Amino acid sequence: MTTEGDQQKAAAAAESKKEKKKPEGLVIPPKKPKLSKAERRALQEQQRAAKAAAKQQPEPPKGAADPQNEPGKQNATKNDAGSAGKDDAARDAVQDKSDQKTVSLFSHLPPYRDPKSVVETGPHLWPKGVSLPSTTFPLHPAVIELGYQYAKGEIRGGNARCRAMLAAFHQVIGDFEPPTNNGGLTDMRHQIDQWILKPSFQYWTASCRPHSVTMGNAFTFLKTAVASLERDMTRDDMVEMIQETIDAYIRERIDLAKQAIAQQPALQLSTTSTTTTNNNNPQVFLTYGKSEAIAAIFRNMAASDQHSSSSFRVIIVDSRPLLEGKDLLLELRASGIECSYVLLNALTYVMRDVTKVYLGASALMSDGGVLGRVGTACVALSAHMHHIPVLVCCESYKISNRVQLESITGNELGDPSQVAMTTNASSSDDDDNNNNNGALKDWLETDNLRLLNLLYDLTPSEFVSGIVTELGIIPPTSVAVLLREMNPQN
Amino acid sequence: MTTGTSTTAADEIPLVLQDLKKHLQSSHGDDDNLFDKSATAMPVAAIKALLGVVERSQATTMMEMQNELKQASDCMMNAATTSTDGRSHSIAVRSGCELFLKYVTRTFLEELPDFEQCRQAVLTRGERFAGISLAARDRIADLASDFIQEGQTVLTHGWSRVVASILLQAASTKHFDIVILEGRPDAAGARAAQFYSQRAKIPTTVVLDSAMGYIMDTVDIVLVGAEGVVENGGIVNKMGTNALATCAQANGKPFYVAAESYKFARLYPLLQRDIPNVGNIPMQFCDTTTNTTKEKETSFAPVDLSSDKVKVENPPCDYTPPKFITLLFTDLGVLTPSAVSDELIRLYQ
Amino acid sequence: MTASSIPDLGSNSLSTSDPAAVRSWLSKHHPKQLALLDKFEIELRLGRLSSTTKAGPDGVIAAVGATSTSDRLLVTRRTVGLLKHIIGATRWKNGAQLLVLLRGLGRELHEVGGFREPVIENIVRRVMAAVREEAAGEPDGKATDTGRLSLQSILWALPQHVKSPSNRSLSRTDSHQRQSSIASEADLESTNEFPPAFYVNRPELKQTVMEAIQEIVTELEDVYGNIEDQATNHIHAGEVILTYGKSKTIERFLIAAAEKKRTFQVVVCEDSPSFGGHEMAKSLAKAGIDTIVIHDSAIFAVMARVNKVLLSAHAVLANGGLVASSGSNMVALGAYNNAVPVVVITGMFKLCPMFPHEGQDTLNDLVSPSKVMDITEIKDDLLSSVELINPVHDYVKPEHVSLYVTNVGSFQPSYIYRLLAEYYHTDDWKSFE
Repeated sequence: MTTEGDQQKAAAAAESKKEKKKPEGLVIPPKKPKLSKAERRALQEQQRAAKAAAKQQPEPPKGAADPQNEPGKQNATKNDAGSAGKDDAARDAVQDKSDQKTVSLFSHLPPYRDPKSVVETGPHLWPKGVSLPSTTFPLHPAVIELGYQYAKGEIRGGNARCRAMLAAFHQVIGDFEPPTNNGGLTDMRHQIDQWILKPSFQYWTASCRPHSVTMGNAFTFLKTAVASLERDMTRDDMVEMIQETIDAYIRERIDLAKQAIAQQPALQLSTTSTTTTNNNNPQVFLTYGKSEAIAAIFRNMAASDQHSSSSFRVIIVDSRPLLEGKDLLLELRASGIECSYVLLNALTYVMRDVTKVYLGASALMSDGGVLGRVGTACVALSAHMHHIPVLVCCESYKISNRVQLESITGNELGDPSQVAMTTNASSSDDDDNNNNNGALKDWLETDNLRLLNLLYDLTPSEFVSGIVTELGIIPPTSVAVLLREMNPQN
Repeated sequence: MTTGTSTTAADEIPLVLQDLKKHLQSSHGDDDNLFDKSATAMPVAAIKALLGVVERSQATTMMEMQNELKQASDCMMNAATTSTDGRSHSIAVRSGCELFLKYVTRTFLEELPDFEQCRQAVLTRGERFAGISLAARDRIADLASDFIQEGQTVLTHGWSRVVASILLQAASTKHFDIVILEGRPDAAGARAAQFYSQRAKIPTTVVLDSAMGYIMDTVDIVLVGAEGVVENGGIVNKMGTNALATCAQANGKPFYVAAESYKFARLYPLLQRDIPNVGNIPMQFCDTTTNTTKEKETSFAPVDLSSDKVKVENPPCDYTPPKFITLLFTDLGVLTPSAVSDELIRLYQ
Repeated sequence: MTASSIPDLGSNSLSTSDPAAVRSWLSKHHPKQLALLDKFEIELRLGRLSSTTKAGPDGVIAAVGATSTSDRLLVTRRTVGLLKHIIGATRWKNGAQLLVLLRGLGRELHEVGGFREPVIENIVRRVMAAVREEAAGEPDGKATDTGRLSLQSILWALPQHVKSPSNRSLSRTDSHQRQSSIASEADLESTNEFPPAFYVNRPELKQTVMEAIQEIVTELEDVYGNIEDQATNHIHAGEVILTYGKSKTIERFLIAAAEKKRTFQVVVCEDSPSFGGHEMAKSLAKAGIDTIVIHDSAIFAVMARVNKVLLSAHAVLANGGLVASSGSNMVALGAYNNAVPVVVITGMFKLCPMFPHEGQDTLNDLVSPSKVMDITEIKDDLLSSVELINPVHDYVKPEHVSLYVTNVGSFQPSYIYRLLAEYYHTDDWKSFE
């Protein structure tokens, strides 16, 4: 271990110590102040009144909202979603057709929203359900642009989406000016919360794309951080403080955490062979899709490899339609790592040579289950049946206190027409149907045929040998413990 | 009638055992008879001893003949259960005897109605049993050596002539290496290791019996022989085979058994204590050492447990249930454990 | 071993199974049949034996064994047709000559590329087994020379138990003793490889052999019908059935069940990179079956809601294992983990008397990786050294298969060895290599 590594390790250790110590530091949200009984009763009344008021609020103007809602109600849409607003009959016909295309198994999930519907019909300018004069706070353009990027799928992956969200908030809060007409809200903290944070998040989630666990966790953190600021700060101080909080979160819980994971001692290349019957073959690692933490791990291994990268090679397994593994392939090749690239069908064929499997995650459930890109569970299962250890690498901020038993309950539906495409395009082109000359290009007109494009799946904790976080390696059963340690006020 | 048989029976009882012993001896008469691949297996020797009974018998009806044979088999089985050379022969003897008894009955029922002619037919055919052991082993070696691939590591336990044939044949065309469990208490494994390494030039590693879990990661297949194969497809073999099979399954390694078909016995054990075992043999270890210093003293002092305060259990064999066995290599072909009972049903229906 | 004891095979007939010898014999005596054989081999090489092959989307005809539309039943039928012609038209007098000829044909086809289509060799073996049965004449009660090895046959000390297999190398020191034990046999059986009954010239043998082959042909014609009859046994109302890729057998099976008014849902995995699942889904939807198409990566995700998995087979191995299109193992493992039964629908002609010695490489092939990553994407040096792997098949272990549904009934994987013994003779298992 070099001294640099030592320093970083010490920094990470110090960081983790800092995290364990409550309640200092901007990283861990401070404890909520304990309320007396009367105060709690008053707060409850206030919330109940706010709910009742929201219900009686007149609906915002129908014109802008309607076409957007309708495709939203049903499943997959055609390109001419905008034409649904033309006349009732056409709209009904579209609805009937779309009804047939819903997969009943997944009808509890919000249906896929065509990104064009977000653009053509224009975004909300008035956040819904918020009690304020409608002229005061439209959504910031950065929020709208980010929403569009989410809907189009230009930003994918837990870390990327979270970073983008926090960057957007950073910018928006920087532009915040307390208005003269404040509609009754005098506390700047409440203003920021009600007029910036909440509407933006709602807009993204309800109109663009359901939020990821990382976004959810970061958002909760930010809200709590804002709420715990002192009441009587100036606007500039408050803005600066919030921006610093955001930066620290990104720096420590995403970027530094990634580095700390890559430098976990158990993930370094071991140099000895075990028994006399084993040859000194290079180790073979297998990974699926793309993950920032995994890329960091391999780059770190390559950098520290004394045999100039001949001690290990990496097999990248990829799958349609997103083919995210190609990006990882380019990144690893740039570091000089010997790579193989296969699709999911070759999984069994390559699995026999593999030493260890490294997988990334979108979120960790509190029972140790891993929510990841769809296909992760297949890889973990295959490795498990071949008695190969599986390591899931993810930063600790991805831990969610939800529990999910299988992949169907909490999932996300993607664009079904991507299933029909037979060209291996990695991202959806503007004109999907022009590229598609496969057997299913008429799937919309074919009766009895439905396409299902899932985005996530759940890997049960039995398939996972260990979870690597910046705090160390833990067995899947200990995730709940970690959650408790990190969120002391819950 | 009974007096007639009893007088001959009194002479024959020791004769049967003498025969058995004679047939078991290798024809080379080597000191090294452990390694003599042409030596006869126990069930075949039992069959040959029973042939001797048929030859010497003065019975005139089938019932008498069957009685004599039954007496002789019981005698041999008793002798087998009380043997103390550390291996259990009772199942092997039992399977051979049962097979022969069945054969005799069938011949009498189906072939010629004349007793004397039948007897002659039995005896003539019996001459051919000489070649059975060898031919069976060769056939098994042909079938099984394909299962060992180039560059693999084979784990084995105990000494078995069938397994030795297989490994020798495979070594003639491919490179692979062997890991052997040392094989307490008689160090059978260590002896086998010497054979494989010196005579057959196969790279061999010896590990302690208790290291089977440790080493299991690095091996590709596990191959053992069997003293006897029971009706549900399980096997009875040297103590430690059951643990080895369990360990192999837990690590996803295939577990293969090589056994000739005359070792199939009509037993259906459910628990370990259901197998007819010798009982307790005094625990006494044969020294295996890799200590190259010439001094007589080893670095470990012997431990004396002969006082009766400590209970010692040391049966020679254990039972491995069929769920741990992947395939059986027999001279009838490569069988799954369920196929064994199929064969027995068809014979004994 | 005097000259008189060796049956005279005649100078005009085939004495060895060497493929070159077979060809030269055919060209000398039966040129028309040789032409038929050549034509068959050309089609085999070009992958056109199953006439439903067509150009893929990029205009290239897929290679033998790798196309998703190959119809193996058709291949089998054409092979039987070829054998019928050759057997019917060539001159042979007894069972031994015919078997030598058949074995030579089998070897020839194996060399030409038949190892990619195991059904060809299977059917040759089947015909050989039928010939053996006919040539043995009246089997007496005990000494059935063509019968299986069994404990009973040991007791009768039949020659096949006492004689060592003929291809042993006799170079070891103790071979001396073994030779003497064989020589003590001193009868005809140990010096020729077929039982003596096969060397008797029987003119009516041709007729009986042709009848036996006709039986095989009839059985082959009824394959789909017999399988579809079992459809309602396995598919019940309200089930969700998962299948992988494209298979004509499974398509017909499901359509048969739908025609018998069973309502069920089918989830089809698309089977990238060949996308066989897309065509399968289209056909099923057109037949009125409620179909959902998913990506391969979603297999484990939906498995929690699946009641049954149906897989098709490329070959069924002697230990009950399955060789199927690549990706099937992932499906089988997912099903095994969720306690979902895996049912394999196949015809019996796909049963191969071989074991998975090479693991995942058994009966497998690596085909062009251009479907994994297009050549146009490999622009720079960085990517040109990346290994791309695209296997055609997967091997599924027998413990992950619950049931084989075939045209002769439904069997557990542990029972397959019995069927092998019924269809093929042990001596023919390895004779084509």
